[in-house]
Amino acid sequence: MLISWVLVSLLLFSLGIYGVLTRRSAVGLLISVELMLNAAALNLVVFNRFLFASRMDGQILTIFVIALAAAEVLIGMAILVMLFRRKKSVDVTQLSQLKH
Amino acid sequence: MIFYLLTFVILVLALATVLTRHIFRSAIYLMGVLALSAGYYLLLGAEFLAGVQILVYVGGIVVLIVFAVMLTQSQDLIHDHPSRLRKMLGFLTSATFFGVSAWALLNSHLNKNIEMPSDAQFSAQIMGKAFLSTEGNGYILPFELISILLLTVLISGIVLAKKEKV
Amino acid sequence: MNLSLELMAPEIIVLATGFLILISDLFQKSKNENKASSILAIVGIMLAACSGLFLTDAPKETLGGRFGLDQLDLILKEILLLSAGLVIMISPAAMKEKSEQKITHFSEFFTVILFTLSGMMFLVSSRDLVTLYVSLELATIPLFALTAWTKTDKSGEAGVKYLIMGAIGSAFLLYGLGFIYSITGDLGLKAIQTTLTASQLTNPSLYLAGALILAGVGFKLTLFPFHMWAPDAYQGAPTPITAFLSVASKGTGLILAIQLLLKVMGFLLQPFVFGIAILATLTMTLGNLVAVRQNNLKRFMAYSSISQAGYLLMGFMTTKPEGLTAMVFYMLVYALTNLAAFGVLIVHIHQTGQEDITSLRGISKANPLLALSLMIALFGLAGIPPLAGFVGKFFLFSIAAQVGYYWLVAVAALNSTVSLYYYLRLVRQMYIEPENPQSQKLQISPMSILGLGIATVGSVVAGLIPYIYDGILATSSQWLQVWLKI
Repeated sequence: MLISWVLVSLLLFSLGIYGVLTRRSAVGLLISVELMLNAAALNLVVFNRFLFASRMDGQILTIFVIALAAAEVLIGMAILVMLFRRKKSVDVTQLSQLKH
Repeated sequence: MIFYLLTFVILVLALATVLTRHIFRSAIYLMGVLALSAGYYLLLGAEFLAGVQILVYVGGIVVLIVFAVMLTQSQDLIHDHPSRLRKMLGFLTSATFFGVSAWALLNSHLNKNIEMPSDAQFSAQIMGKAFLSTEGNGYILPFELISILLLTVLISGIVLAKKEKV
Repeated sequence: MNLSLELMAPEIIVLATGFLILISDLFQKSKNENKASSILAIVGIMLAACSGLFLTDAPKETLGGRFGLDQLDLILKEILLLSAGLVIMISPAAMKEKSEQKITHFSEFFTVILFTLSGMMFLVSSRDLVTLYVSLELATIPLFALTAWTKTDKSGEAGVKYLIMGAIGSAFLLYGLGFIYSITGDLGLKAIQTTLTASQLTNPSLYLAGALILAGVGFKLTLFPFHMWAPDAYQGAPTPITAFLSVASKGTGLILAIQLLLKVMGFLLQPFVFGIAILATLTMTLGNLVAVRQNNLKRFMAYSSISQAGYLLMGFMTTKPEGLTAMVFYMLVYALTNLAAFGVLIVHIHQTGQEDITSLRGISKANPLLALSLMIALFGLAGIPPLAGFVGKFFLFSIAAQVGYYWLVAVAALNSTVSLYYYLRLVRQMYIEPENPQSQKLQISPMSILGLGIATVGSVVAGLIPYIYDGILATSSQWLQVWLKI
């Protein structure tokens, strides 16, 4: 049943949103965002298979999305490693240098 | 059925990912979710995609995250304890989002009795050709763009994470 | 095989320049020699811009179905090239040996900027969702790294926050695009448009998709409530990147909105006009109210640019060509004016190391021309006639009036008045406040003077030359006829 797949990915997406709202550390936030991206990608493949099985657009887009997610995580980790070298902490709520 | 079993485990793992207080464990649970999503892709007949998911998402991204967690020794994250208020607000927001979206989806064209059609699987060969094809349905342009992006990210990553000579 | 690669000439030139800079770095003896790289970058951009002009004969072509080019695309690309070129021209002050917050690794810096620019240009020409999404990410992800480029605590924090919010916006956008796909089955923009007829308005998933896409677009355009990343990112980034963010990133957001909202769902606009008006109001008001209390120059510019996005949004309220024209014209004007302001700010911040508004005191005595440029730019942003900023705002306000939203015009005018107050705060610091005994004569490189000059003159003149606006108007009318069959 298509709708059960869609609801599952919606649930995963919502869990990701919850994670984004409650996590304090940068790594935790990134993990939650990856959850969201994975849910969105899953959605694409589901639609591709159920509704338009003669095409492969959804799958191909998903492959691109996976690569893009990797790129984002790479930059994120590079910045975090750089920050950690300087400060020994990656708690996002403790990053409060940027205030007026 | 396999679908329900997979779904149950994935949801439990996803819940654990966002609820646990230990960031390292969260990363491992994420790995579980991503790996089982590959299982989903297999169920959906996208074998090549499942392979890519395992290789890149699990084998690359999660490894990167675990690396970063261990390198940065994020110990204060053991105390990653959001306040009650924050948890309530987070729960309310995501629950509202889920509720409204679920209502919208249940009333949409997606709620018809649609079953999975049989067998329209695309082999890796067909997809590979599509990636490099310049014809109407070819994906060569995004393919080249993403290679530029990966190069850029590589350069930036090196510049950012490089140890500066004092 | 009919490839028509010459249609991509501007992008290819930009990419080639990026590679060239990277390679030339191998032959440079001194690590501090950034002149060659920046000159190479400027030359490349100028070449790309010129090649774009030669393409004006071809009305519309596609390449493999993914890449399209028409008159409006060329105009947008020229604006992007202009913005990037000016940013590179005004950035040398941030790279000098003795500057505060020094930018290192010049060659990589310019290469990454050029690659980002190419992503923005490819976004303009995307004709399907895959190309659109990938080029959007190419235009965005390097910006996260560029924000953190100076590798200080502040810039790292800014980069992380920007990245996380950017990833969230991107996830929302992707989810929304998925639902559009579920309705249309084809990822091509033209095909989506033909499938999404008015009969689809009864489908709630379309609204869900629209809301999700709006979240993604709102992030790039710094609309309320997705503007949260901007102040921190603008403040922590090296100032040339702040300039780039404020102009090119916002331009990217506008282009994304045009591609996804106007082109594809434009005819469905009617029910949403009120929502757009509310969003515009919230954005401009919030930007203005918080800007009043800012004391940090870069954060100040962030909130100023958030409120400018609010004004810009008003152009979406109609599908008549005047709406699109007003927005594109304002994008040009805003780019020139904002970069004129940043041209001065970069020199000031990186040579004095101070980012506070009060540090501007005495500039009018020590560096009169700089102060004058900044004043013109600030007046332009506030919308004082006869500067181009006024003309641009006038056109945007008239759109709101044309659709009958007179209350919105009043709100916008009120907001402009408030903004005048905080722009004048800076002018006051420069001219009226007692002189700071430490203010020194600032050194500017010739390239910066050139860039600053172009931007300042442009921000005065762009509103006075009717050719510019009329040219955009004619192109927009033509473009809308094709896409929306108006």
